[in-house]
Amino acid sequence: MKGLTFSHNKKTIFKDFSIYLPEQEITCILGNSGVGKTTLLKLLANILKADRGNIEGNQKIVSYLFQEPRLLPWKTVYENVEYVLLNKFSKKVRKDRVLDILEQVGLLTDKDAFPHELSGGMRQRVAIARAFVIKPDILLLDEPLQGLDLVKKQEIQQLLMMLWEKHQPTVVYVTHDIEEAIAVGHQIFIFNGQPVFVQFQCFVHTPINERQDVVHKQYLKAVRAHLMLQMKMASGNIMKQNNRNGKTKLQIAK
Amino acid sequence: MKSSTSQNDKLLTTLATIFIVCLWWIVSFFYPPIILPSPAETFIKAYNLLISGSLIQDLTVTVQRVLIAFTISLLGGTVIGSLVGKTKNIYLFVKPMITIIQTVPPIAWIILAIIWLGLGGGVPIFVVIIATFPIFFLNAAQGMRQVSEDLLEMSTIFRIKHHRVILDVYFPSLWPFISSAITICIGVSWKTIVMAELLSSNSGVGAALGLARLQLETAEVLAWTLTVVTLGVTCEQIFQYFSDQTRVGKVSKRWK
Repeated sequence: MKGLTFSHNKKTIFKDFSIYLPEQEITCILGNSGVGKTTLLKLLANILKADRGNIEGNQKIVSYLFQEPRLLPWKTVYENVEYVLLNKFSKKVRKDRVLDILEQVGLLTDKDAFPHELSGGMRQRVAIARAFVIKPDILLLDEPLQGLDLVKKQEIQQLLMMLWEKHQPTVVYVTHDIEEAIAVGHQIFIFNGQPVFVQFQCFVHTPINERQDVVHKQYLKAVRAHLMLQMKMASGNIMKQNNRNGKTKLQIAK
Repeated sequence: MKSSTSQNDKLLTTLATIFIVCLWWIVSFFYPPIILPSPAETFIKAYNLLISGSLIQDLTVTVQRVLIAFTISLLGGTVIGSLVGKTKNIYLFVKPMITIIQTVPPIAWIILAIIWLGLGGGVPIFVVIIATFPIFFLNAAQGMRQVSEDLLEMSTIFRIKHHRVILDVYFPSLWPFISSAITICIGVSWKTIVMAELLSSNSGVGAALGLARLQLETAEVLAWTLTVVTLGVTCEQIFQYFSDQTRVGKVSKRWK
């Protein structure tokens, strides 16, 4: 993604903005709400068009997991997952794929249920199944654990990681939770300001499945502390900007 | 639990119907048949009409007209309504025109239609279209504004084909609005067509009613009225039944 410029309502959200998203890795994007994280995902998903600049790899199969499940209320679990495959594959291929993914997310027994009959966590599972069933090259996650309780959060996160290891899509994971970012990110960005700049960028080299191990505890703790500090600075920065009525642009070196 | 409530509902409806007939019967004792014939007389008259074939004949004409007008309104109103409802500015531009059409009393439309189309079958059809079109239009447009942006966005991201989106997102979202419009319009079209036929046509139920009135055949007037009411209610019930059977009908009931 290079030299991207995007304005909305006369506000420039991205100006000559470039980041690199490594293939088959997970990039986490942290930042305060309203900084333009979701906008970036929408640009990547091609629902918003950039004024200038280009996004490489646009032609690839893109999948999106929203904050809410966004299921069709009049369709069953099976049909909701099948919906994204309709008119693209034959009936038999669709059936195989849908049943396969439903088994992986553990919803095979509920395939004929309607969304309103399911719990919040189960609905999000359906949305995950729908996101993975098209075998995406790029998967965009917009705070997918929002609004779930701690146990469910963990379940869904494990499920996501399990599926990621199987399919290895390039993931852009937007969140405001540092813990989530540390748990899954290969690369972590902190976005700040308007237009957006990358305030902080780091790579976490610990393999994802070893991140719970004691050996890495100290290292991850340090990463966490540093991210925390950067996030605090990010909010501080915005406050300072507001205090000066936006006259000066405060830049913190990346 | 649920079935017992619906059984209770049915029982009350039946009781109410019996009550009305009884009341009618009692009141008819106090008046001569030319003012208010008894239920028995009316039913006999209706039966005679059925035997003589004129009931079926006139009814067929009327039903045909209703069907033609209803179909045109349903398709035209819904399609135009959904297209217009999609864009807010066009909707706001078109809405006053529809409101004007709706506020002009049907009787004025009948007179205008007689002037424009002359006497005959065209007037009732025209008037029913005029009476029902705005209802379909406004409901469809209203429904269009309720279609979930989230689901549309989701469909765009997953690159769903357009006809699939219409079939699987737009149509199910619109269906509750269209189905309530259909229920309303069944009633409206029966009422309007009889009036229009009475004033402008020499065939159909309305014309038969007019003839009965001229001959002071009160029993016949009531017999026709009863037929129209029965048919109207039956149509509504049948539609309601099928509407509840649909996927959206079933699911939307359990949403709340």
